[in-house]
Amino acid sequence: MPGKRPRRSTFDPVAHDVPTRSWTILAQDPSILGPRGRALTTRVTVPAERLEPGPWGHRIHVIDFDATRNTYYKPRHDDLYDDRYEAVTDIDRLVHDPYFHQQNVYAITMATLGTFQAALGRPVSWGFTSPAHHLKVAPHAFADANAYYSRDSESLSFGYFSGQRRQTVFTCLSHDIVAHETAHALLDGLRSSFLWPSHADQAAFHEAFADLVALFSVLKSSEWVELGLADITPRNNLIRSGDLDVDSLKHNVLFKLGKQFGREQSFGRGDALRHSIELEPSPRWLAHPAFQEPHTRGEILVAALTQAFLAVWCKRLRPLGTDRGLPLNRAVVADEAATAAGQLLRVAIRALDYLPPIDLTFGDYLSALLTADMQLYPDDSRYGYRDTLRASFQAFGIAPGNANRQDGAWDPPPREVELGYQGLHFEPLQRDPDTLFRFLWENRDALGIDRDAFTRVTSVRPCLRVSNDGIVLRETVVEYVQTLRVFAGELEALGIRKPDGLSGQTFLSLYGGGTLVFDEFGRVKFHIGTGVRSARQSARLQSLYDRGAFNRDAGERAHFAGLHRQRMLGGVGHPEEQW
Amino acid sequence: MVAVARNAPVRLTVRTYDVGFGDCFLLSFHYARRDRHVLIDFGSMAWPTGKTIRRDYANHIAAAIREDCGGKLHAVVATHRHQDHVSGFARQGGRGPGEIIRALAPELIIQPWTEDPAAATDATAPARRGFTRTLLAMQEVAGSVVQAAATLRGEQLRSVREQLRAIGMDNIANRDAIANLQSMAPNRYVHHGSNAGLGRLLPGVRTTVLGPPTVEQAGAIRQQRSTDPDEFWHVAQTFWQRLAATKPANAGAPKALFPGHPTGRLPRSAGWFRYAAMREQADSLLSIVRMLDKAMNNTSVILLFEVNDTVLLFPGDAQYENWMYALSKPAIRDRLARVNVYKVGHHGSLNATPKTLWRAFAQKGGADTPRRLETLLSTMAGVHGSQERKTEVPRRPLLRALGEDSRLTNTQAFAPDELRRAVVIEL
Repeated sequence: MPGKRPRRSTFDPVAHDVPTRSWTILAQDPSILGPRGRALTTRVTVPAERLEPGPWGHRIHVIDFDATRNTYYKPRHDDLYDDRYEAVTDIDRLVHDPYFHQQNVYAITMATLGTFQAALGRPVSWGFTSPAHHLKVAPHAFADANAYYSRDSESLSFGYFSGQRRQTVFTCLSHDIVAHETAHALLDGLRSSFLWPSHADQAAFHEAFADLVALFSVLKSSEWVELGLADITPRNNLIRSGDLDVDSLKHNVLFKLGKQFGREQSFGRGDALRHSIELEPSPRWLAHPAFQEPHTRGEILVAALTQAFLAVWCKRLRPLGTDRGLPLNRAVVADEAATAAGQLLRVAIRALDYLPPIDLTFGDYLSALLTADMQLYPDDSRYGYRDTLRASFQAFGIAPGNANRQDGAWDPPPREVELGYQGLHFEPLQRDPDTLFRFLWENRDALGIDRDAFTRVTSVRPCLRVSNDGIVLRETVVEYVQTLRVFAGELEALGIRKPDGLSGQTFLSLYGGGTLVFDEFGRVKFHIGTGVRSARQSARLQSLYDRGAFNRDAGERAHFAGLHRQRMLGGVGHPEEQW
Repeated sequence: MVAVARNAPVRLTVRTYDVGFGDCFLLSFHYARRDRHVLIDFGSMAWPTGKTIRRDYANHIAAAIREDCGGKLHAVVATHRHQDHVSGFARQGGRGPGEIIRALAPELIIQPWTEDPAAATDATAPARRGFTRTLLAMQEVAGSVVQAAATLRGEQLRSVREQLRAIGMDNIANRDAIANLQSMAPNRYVHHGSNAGLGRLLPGVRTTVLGPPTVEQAGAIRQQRSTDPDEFWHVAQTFWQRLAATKPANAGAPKALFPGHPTGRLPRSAGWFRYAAMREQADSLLSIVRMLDKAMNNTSVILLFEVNDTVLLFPGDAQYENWMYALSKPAIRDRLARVNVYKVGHHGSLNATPKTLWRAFAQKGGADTPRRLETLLSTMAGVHGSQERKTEVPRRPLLRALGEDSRLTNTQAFAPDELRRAVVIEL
């Protein structure tokens, strides 16, 4: 039975005819309580869409089916549009109410989708094998300390398990876990090739990116940050300026939050924040054996961005008074953290459009971040976000993927490259993959596209982005992917080094491709990519071999259920001598 | 030419018993005046089909062992706790094959260090303690997976249900068998480099323990994130213990998750999701149970027996991580090259006979090779893996290599009335 819309008698079109509504969620998870033991909740913005019981909207279908108990927990059938929990402060009531659990996952998932769409300036599709509009979300999917996105079943599954005090722990009540899994689903929709076997950096990227989205989503909630600031707020809600430098905020605030973060709910995965703060900046981590595994390697990227966040937060506090030694109000300090987190989250998402479609490195991501920010915020003089990002990544030994420019952003195509547009029209260049393929066909040599590899255009996405400063940016982002299937014995002839120990009879795929960013006049602004015969292939194959990717029983694609479990247990892949 | 030791055995009989998918070997060292018998494993997770004997098959195997050792065993090796290696030691209230083995009065039981009851509480070695407790928790999980597998309904899930049951059953605690082993005779819990304790029982035979490595030994060559192994094992232990704590409560008599909350049939619009969710749950359980299966295989005792110029290698089900430590030692690699009796690892699976090891065996070759390599394979096709994914057990390319370059004893080729086959080696 469809839910009722708000009654017309109480409907004020001026006040209510807006495209969004606010719903209550837990700011982090049930273990983190506010003053006097009250539930720490916050409100997020979701579309004011038509809802069916579930909640079931136009992009998310919450299906509360528990496979372990073979039980379906019914959703609410009345007052579907009302947020019943805004005034609830009793945490037990929220934890024991499955209707709240259903609302919590719906609202966080939709809010995360909304953040992605706003950052990218366009709708974002799911990455399922057959196109579908609904991501299915099971808040009590099974009795297991796990939660994951599955492309095959088009779903997010959240498990529950026994906690240390024998209480049931629900992963669907952890803001960071729900945001993390939604980020996996969204990233898969934007860049499906990122799940293909590749260099260690790419393998690490999915987890690291999902961690970043989770971290910044939670840090966007000023209620939670305020709680972290309590220890350095002696009285009158004022914090001394001496307690608001990078070092103090790191050790007294983020470290404390990190210890709380996912203490039990995330079952070991909440260590992301703690590890990213504890990891001392050093260029040696990238080559360190302990950081060759995807899960641990991703922590380097998370650390670089978390520490950039700290620096930006401090910079934002300076003009408010810390540069003059003035104390600041706790709420203001928390608001600045939320603003910085929100801005970094948006640029982290927007950077996806400036990444190669396959074989990315952390350096590529840095160049993508810098390019994405520069396009929308050409003037960075106030807080120096880009300098901060460069410095923070540099401290971890990550140099921009493009070494040709001092600012680290991507280069436009060289002036001497003549791209032909004959026979093409502007309008289909913004939406039609076949037209884009003809563009590639006509410009194959100019763009350096391999003749032998199978080439296909995988996406054409027009965007309209608007900055806080009022700058409007129209771009069309196009991806093409190339595949070349060869025996390992042929690699030397292609100029690619075969890993020692890999049988020449192994049949393998070399991947390449590029991202073309067109400006609003239909001209190529950036061509960001890697060729199937590029120098990176040698490193990619060696990395895959070292992680056991050519073992017979290794999966073709990562499955997040196994990936998360490995992350908890620190599993190590390695090559095996198989028959 | 190796000098012949005084008091050394003059002949050796190695018997391979047909236990289907499992292992059971009897080494009989014949001295001038006496015989000494060592039983290596006795278990099965799928007894052979089509045999003449159909009832109480395990007891018949135990009786055959009794007959072959003349009513007296000197030592028993239980390479690791898996059902297909130890189920034959279960006493089953006095009616099981373990009762017969117990009556053969072995003087020494050899097990991996991970089975040492003291290891789970050893305050001086927290990493070992954590590892051992982790294994115990894993076995609890295996039991609950078997229960959970039974709740998966539908023809589409039949294959995964059978895999879950098979691997889960292999990994359950096997308490009856282990308790019998622990009380049958003094136990010696061994690791790489430790004394097997067979010197007195087998004079003239040099026995070397090549595996399993200890946590510290394995840690020396493992790329492990945590620089603190205690912390690493603490996390692993907590994970499995909590999983174990979560499962039985739900798999047994499910208590309502939300008492009083309305439940019902999935609406038609979401009905298809039920199968997808069940599939997710099944795949998740399978990945869990595979992890613990591998961990348990890697606790296998690897023994190298050397008598004059005869070298026998019994690696249990050791897989890559277990082998890695022994193979990292050049001196051991040289000794392994001289192996002329090889018990094929892990029933002939794709990764338990490292190719480095196989290539190094100097005695392998065609039928006219002097002192040709003897290989012993105890297996049964159709239990594990799939031909389509090239993971079948036994793996066909390995079988081919064994057939071409060694004299292969394969239990799959035994006649219906053949319980065991013997290989006699003059020492």
